Amino acid sequence: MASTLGLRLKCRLTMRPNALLQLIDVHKSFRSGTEAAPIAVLRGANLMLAGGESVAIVGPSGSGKSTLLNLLGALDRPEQGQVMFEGQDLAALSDSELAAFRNQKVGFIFQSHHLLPHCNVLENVLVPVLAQRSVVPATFESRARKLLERVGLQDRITHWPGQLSGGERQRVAVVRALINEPPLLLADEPTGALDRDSAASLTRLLLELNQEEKVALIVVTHSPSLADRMQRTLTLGDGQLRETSITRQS
Amino acid sequence: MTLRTLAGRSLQRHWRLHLGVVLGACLGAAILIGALIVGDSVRGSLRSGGLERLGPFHLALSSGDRFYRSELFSAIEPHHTLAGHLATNGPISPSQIELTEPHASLLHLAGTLSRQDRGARVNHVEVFGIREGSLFRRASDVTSEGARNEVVSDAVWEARTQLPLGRMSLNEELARRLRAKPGDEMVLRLQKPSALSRDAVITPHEETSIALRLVVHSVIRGEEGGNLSLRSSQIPPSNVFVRREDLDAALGLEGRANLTLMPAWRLRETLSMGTRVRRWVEKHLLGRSNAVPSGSDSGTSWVEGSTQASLLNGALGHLWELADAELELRTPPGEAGGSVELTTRRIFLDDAIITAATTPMRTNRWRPDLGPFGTNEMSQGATILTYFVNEMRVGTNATPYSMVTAAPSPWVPAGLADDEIVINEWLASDLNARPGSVIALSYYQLDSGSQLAERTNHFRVRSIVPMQGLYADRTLMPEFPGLAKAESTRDWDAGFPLKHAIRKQDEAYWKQYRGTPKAFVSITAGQKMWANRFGRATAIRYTSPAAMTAAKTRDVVEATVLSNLDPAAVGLRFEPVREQALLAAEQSQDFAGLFIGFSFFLILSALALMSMLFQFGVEERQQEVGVLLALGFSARRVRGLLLLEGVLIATLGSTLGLVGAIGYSKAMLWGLGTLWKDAVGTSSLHFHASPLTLIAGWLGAILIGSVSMAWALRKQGARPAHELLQKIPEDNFAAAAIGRRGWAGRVSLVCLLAAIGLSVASVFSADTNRSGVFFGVGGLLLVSGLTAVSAALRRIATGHEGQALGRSLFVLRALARRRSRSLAAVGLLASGSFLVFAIGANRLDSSQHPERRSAGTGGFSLLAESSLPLLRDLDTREGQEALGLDPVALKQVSVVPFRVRAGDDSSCLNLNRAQRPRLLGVRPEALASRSAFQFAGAASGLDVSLGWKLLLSDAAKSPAAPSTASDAPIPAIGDAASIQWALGRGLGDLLTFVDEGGHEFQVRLVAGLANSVLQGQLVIDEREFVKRFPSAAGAQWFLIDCPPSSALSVSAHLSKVLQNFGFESELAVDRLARFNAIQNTYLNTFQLLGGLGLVLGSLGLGVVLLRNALERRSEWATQLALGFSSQLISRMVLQEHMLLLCLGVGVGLVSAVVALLPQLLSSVQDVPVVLLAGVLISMLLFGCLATFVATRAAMRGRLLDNLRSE
Repeated sequence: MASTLGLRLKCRLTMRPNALLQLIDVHKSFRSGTEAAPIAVLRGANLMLAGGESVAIVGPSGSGKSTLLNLLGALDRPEQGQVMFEGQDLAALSDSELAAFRNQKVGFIFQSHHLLPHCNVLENVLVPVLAQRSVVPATFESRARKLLERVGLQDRITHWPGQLSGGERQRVAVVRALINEPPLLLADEPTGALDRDSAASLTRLLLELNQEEKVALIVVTHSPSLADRMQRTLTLGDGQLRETSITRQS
Repeated sequence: MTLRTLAGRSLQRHWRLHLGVVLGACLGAAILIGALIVGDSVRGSLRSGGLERLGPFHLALSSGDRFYRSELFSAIEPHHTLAGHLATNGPISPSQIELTEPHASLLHLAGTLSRQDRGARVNHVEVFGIREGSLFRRASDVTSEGARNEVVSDAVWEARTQLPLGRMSLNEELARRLRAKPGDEMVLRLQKPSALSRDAVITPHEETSIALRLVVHSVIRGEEGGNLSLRSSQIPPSNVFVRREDLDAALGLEGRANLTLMPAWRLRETLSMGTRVRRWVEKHLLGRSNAVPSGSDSGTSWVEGSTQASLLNGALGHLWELADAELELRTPPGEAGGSVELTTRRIFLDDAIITAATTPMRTNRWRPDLGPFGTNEMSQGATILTYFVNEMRVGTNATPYSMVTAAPSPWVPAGLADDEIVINEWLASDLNARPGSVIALSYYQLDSGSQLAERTNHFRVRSIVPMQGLYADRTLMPEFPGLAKAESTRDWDAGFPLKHAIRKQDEAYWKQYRGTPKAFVSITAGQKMWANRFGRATAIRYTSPAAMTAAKTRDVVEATVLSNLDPAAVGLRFEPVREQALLAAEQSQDFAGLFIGFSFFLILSALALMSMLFQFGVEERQQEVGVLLALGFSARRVRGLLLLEGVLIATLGSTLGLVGAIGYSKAMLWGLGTLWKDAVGTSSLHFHASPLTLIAGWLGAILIGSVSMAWALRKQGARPAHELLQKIPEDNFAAAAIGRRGWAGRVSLVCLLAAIGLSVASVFSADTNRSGVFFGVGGLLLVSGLTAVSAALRRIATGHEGQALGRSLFVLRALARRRSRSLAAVGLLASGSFLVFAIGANRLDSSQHPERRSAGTGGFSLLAESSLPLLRDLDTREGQEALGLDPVALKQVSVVPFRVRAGDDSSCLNLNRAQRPRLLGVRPEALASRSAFQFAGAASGLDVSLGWKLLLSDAAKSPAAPSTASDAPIPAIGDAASIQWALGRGLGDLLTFVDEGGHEFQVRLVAGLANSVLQGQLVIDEREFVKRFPSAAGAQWFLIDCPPSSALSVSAHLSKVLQNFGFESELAVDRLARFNAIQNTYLNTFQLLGGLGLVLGSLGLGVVLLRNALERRSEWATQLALGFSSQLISRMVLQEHMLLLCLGVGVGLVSAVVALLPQLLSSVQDVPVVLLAGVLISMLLFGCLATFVATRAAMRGRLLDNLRSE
């Protein structure tokens, strides 16, 4: 039943011309240190994501969620299959073009905030701008301030990461992911390290931003409550993605 | 279960983490202990060398050009009793002393030795006239370390050491220099000993040296006694051993000696337990097994050297005879005045002898058993002074070359005025003089040397005496060499050109009356004219009292003179040479300190590396620390536990370091014996390590290692346990933001201002000793630079609103992330580069303007030395012609001659502490008029601008030490580096010397010269020199001015013509380069070890970088995810570490350059800019490469794995 649904989805996705992101028959394997043969993590995974859509990807530990996220965010390349973004195959891009792609098109949010300890809140938000420019233009700074105000951190602008709570740090990470106005936001267990209130608050924020900024959102999570808040839920198992919960309008 | 168990388990668990720390501790310990062993080895080698050169001998009596009977000490031999010779009320009774080995009485002369085929020549050869092979000892008898203990059969040994007539033995050094082997024929040239100083006008200058053709019989090794020398130096002497019969015949020194070597005396006593323990500690812990004679055990007691010398010097007063003081009693002709006459083969009787001979004997110290002889009945003796005058003239009548005697009554009428003269009939007739006539008497001042200063005095004839009785006494003329044995005036060799014609009647007078004086003046008048530095009488005549026979009178005179006279006054004095050698070795250059200094940066780097690795290891175990804290351990207890681990690691590392230290010290000794041989002048440095040094070094290394680790642990346990348990990384920025304000900025400013002040002050200061200023200013600037970097990093870390974010700020922020780590790296690099620049800038280059008077050459083109003294003036045409030189070749040549009193080399070449440095005598005006050499400083209270005039006693009078007494210290000038390092003294210090008369006198170091060719000796005023050493004739050291273009040809001409004098000249700039090579070699060592330290510092930087990488890989992965390309991240990491490198090198460079400003602005020393630029570029290139490689290594691997959720 699941495989039938997957095949149907694949057919439907390949036919969507306005897709923001498409994964077509993606394969990826890893060689473990102790195993002689490589372990296939993704075996013909398919995905189609429209702009502004929100998707949760769930699956058991070791099912390849982070690997999938790396492929989606152009941090890694598939061994087989295609990753298409706005109709362009990412395999055709060089490493530096991929870096520029990540910088402009994708916003990352990790389970651990990964804020740079030597930059204050505002600077952490602006760091992605430096990937393409030597100096941060004033427009970005005002956007950063606005976004920080939006997430309620206007009083924490000059604070160091060490001076923030876990929830605050994660909100800074969200703002950092949005600074270049990317069409796609990738979040890897964004609430994994947070308490219940902070997690709920962050979930709310992500969905609001998804709506306000019209940014597509893919969240990898173990949290059913977070997954339930997304428009769609895909389950990663046996190396393939299966839609387990069809779209619900937000 | 104890804390130690816990620490031990932890060590086992984390051994991999600690491996690097153990290696760091091992490295630091190896270098530290190794440096101490190098010090032990140099001291031990010098001690062994000193003992080897003296063999079994503890004392030496060296009388130079005075010769005593070789059997003088025949009573002091094994199996003889010393009773009757030694004082019984001294510290040791004669019955307690046991003589075990015989003494040696030798002839000790200076000479030159050349191959018969002229293939090689060695000047400054020490020649020993010995009795067969008695002086040598078999190497198998020697126990000192380094001896080659081969077993030599009796037959082979005897064949090697039993020296046949006409043959000689060489020591290894001389054989090596001459490429000599047994059977080779050599020419040995020796100075002929002269009874009268060759400086005296009346000494013949012909045939001053003799040549002996001798065949090499054997080569004697150092441990066999071949390196016999009384000078403390690690550089082996060039020795020739000749059968003394060969010398006796050639030099007329039958039965004479001028060197006696005395072995140690054994003490018959039972040693106290305390003494036995002290000996054991000295032998087994301090490694001073050579403090007692070789082959003996520490259970035997020996008479201390100084006590033995004192006993022997006392015994000399009983053993000696007049002949030992070169005195002689003879009976004048019957009709002459007096019945006994005291004379000397040295012609002139000096003050000490005159006083002894004319003072009644109070007690018979010489032969106490014979009583005082009733000396009160003796006359005091009449002092007689006879001299050879050039001319006596009355109007147009002149008589050339006559003897004139100054004497008291009865030779002259009582009350003869000092301007009156008594003449004999012959002279009266020759001059047509009558009582009342005025005679002009011309003579050469005796000690005017080659200057030949003629004086004329006028006398009124008091009376004319007949040629009989008192006035026909030809024995009044002393045995002037060159005159006494002449049959005819044609055979005269007066020592100066005879400018007046000798007439037939003069020849007839000589044939008939020989040296019978033609005139007599009062003794006062005579001494005013002819008293000289050698003495003021030529004879003392005694008249026997009526009741005394002539024989008895002789006995009384002999006993009086020998009782009253101190043997030391005629150069007979034992010195405890073995004690002096040990002292010289003990006070030798502190190589342990030197190598710790050289290796300081290396040790610092090793400790920093060890400390960092330990800290990193502890940081890896934050969770473990968190657990301990959570379990209720206090932070202090956690630190204690970690420190215990640290101490165990330091102990393990230091123990391994002991093995490494042996390797390191052996490598350094190998370097000193080969690569850096210029600095130590010897390859015979052997490994010595006393157990005490090893234990002290080991404990020191553990202590230093533990302290370093305690420092690294100082912040451990300060963070909350939950943070550590959750592995939350430390956030220094948050801490800095709420921390207190830094003091670094203010410290930086204060140090900068102090450095500027010191620098400006030194530019306007007259003091040319720049090294203190250099290191003072440099040190302040280093501190200022590092504190400024610290303040800047803190400022960057704290940041402020409105600061525009850019990539550069991003890089700076990364630097400020681990401020102490960044500072440690900058500090190591800054100190390292400062050292490298400091060393480079202080490298001496002798080729910079050697023609300048202010240069180390003094502006002189040539420097020369001669084995035998030159008595002629090289600056005059007469002098040049007399020496066979070509005045045309020497047209533009001007020479400053120096008299030489042999002594210890006090240059940097001598590792021993020079006890009695070599003295040079010069006319200060010769150097002052040329403004030769640059003065580095003067003693406190003296004006350095006076330069060489400071040698004049009046100029050198310090307000602090006013003294006009004749025993006031003599001013001396030396090379500043020699004074400081080789002598271990400072300006203003006093040194004690012993003059020819056995009296001690002091020399005050009034000024030091900057880096000059005068290293190794002290220069005093020639006038003072000849007062103290009247016998030291002629000059043996020369500074020569000549156009640089003709320097080589002048050098060749002088060396060729004067080769019989062992004259050797070289370019002054070459000599200076040799001295500079010593300092430069030390700098090379310093630079090499500093460079190794810099490598280790770079390794530290690499460790910091890799550690940073480990900590920041997740950051870099984040950046990668945020759209930074891996190239951009690499570039920014590289920039970050390049900035560290530039900051480090920049701080070091700027500090060094500013500190060098006074040098750059003065002409004292030129800075080798090209060399320094090369060093800078190499350092930066090396740093860039190292940083690039480290960055590449840090960026390797899958960064993205660090983004994975746990």
